[in-house]
Amino acid sequence: MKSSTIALLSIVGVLVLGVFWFVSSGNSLIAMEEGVNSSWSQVENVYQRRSDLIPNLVNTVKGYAKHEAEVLEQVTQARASVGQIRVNSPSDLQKFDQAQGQLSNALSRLMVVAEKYPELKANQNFLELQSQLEGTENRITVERQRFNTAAQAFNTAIRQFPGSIVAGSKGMKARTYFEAKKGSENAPEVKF
Amino acid sequence: MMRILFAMLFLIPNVHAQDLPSFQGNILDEAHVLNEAALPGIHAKIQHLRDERGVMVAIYLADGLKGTTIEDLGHRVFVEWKLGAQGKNNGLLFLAVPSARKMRFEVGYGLEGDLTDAFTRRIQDTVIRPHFRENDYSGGISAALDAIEQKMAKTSGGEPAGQDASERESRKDAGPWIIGIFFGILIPAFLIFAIVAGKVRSLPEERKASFKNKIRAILLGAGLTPFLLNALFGVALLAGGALILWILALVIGKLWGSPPAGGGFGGDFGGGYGGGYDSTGGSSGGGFESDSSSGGGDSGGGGSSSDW
Repeated sequence: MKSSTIALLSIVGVLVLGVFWFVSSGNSLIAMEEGVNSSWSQVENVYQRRSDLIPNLVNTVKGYAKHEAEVLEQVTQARASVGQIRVNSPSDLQKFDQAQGQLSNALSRLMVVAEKYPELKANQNFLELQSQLEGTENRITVERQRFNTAAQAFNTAIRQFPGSIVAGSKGMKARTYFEAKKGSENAPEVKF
Repeated sequence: MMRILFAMLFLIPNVHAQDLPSFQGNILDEAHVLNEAALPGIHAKIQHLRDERGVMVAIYLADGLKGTTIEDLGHRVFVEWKLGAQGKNNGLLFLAVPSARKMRFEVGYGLEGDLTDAFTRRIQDTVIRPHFRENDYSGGISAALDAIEQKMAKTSGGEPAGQDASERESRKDAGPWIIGIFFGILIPAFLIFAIVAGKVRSLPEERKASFKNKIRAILLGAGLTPFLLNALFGVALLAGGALILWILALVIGKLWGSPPAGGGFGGDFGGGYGGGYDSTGGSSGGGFESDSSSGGGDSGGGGSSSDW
């Protein structure tokens, strides 16, 4: 083979290889980022599901436990402040997490209070709401874990060497994830 | 109730995957509490739910909580067993831990609309618990399957709602781009190269020589010595070989690794229970189709739990 043919072959080969690598790792990073986004929307969904349950729950409890106005008010307020948070940047996620944590605390206080009212506990509507709330809390745990897993994998991929070049050229940034619950040191006091 | 809210607040201890049982069939009775005589009846009900109502039920009677909560254990087992068909997510796991007197229904995404948390909780309260309190595990499970059958007969009569199904499926299917790149870049590049080479070859001898000389002049002008050119060619050859191997590995991995699309429903594996969960391996005893990876379904933690 003439060296000119060789040269042409080499250049085409190297170029194709480079483009191939760049495009494929770019695509896999995009797929990962989309995975993070879709698991984030799942997180928002389940939190929204919880918010949607609250008005009904508050009304039901109100019917039987009028004296618990303070606890009910806390739940309503925590729900309202959760509704105002939009997550657009890493610091927003912390705020979001904090506000949701406050709502969790308020709700668990409400459920503790409800234990004192036998008629409420026997109310079919309340029982249904209670199991829906339990189910939703569990979904929240699951979706948070999934979001963290996806975000960690994405962060690793865009910070490791070859991927970091592609990620840099696409302006991809590391995602913040939920920290292991800080709330564990200020868990609500439960008195029986 | 408090248990669940607490689970949110405290770090849940990790269960390692190797501690979880692999999928061995629709019923796994680690705790040895089921009555042998009742098994065929339970199997028949599970089969009917699967064939007629589109609900893929698995029952797991664990010998312990494995160091975690019942919710966490239920979810991990569901995910490990991949209950339900991919895209439909129509799996349903009933988990009971007799030693801890705790039970849970874990509901796949696709069934959340029909089998709500409240409904699964009501079955536990009104149907299962009375039996379990008398240590009648087979009776409780059998009655629960009847209740689910009744509920599903009332609703769709088969096709589960499949909420979130398409969204989740698209999230998992990030594969075809490999083939896209293969055809989109490599083949056009090859074609262009072939066309150029063909043009050059068909040129009259003297023009061919001048064309080659031109390219050589350009390359040499760019500072490439003949030695470098040869070295480059060697590298390109090696890289090309590696690339082809890589693509082959990817394509083979794709074909090999993922189960055929369409999930387990009315699957291709006959025998015993005709179809059964989508399985890629042999069947284990009891005439059941089974494999460590069953259908490819997913759950988001829906369902409910209670004590007895």
